[in-house]
Amino acid sequence: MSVQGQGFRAWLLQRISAVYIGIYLVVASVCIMINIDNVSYVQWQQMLSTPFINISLLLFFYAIFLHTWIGSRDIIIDYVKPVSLRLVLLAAIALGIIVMLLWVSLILLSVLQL
Amino acid sequence: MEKVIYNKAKQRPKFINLLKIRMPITAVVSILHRISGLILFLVLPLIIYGLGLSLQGRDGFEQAILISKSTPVQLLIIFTVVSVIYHLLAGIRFLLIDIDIGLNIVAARWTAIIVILITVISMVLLVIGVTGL
Repeated sequence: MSVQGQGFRAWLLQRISAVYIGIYLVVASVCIMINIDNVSYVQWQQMLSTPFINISLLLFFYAIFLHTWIGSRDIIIDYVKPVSLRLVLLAAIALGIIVMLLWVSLILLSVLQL
Repeated sequence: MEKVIYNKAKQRPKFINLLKIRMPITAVVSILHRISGLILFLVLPLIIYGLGLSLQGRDGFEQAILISKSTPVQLLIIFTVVSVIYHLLAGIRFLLIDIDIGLNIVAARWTAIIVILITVISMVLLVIGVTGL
């Protein structure tokens, strides 16, 4: 990957993930508002184990992680000038994202019914 | 000629301190987009925790609902939803600007005002809706 290409790739990925997150948020909010009447545990569990909802929600979280990584990287590069501090913060954020990624994958894949 | 411009540029006062700069509304919308993004990143582990708890059997589900009804969590939920609404609206505005919609300064100011207005209105409605005032 060329140095020139890195910024553009991040810029593009930030926007593609944004569109997925945005559309998912709007659609999910509307669906939740329609079916808001006292959801039971069984309904909740069954809904989230449906392959389509399960995987699309997992992808929603993955899109957020990607979006967060690029966004926080932009913020740190803009405001944090010392290189060592930059690296520490970026490493901490990367670690946090990896932990959350594994965590949410375990949660959702453990209820997935294929 | 070039030298004059260079010198002039050098003499300009530099205010790097964000509190001393009078920011135009378009800059405020941009910085709030970053702040709301940071807030959402910090709330993300709590959301994943709640999702995990709600799927840990019947007891976990009931517990998650109970926690979500406590006052501090209700406030946190409102705060999070408002951050989401703001981040989404400001994000849509930036995407439109990317494809040259609302790019000129007058339109950019108006869309900035609209983003802030809708966020404030939705915040008021949420507070009224949740507290039942």
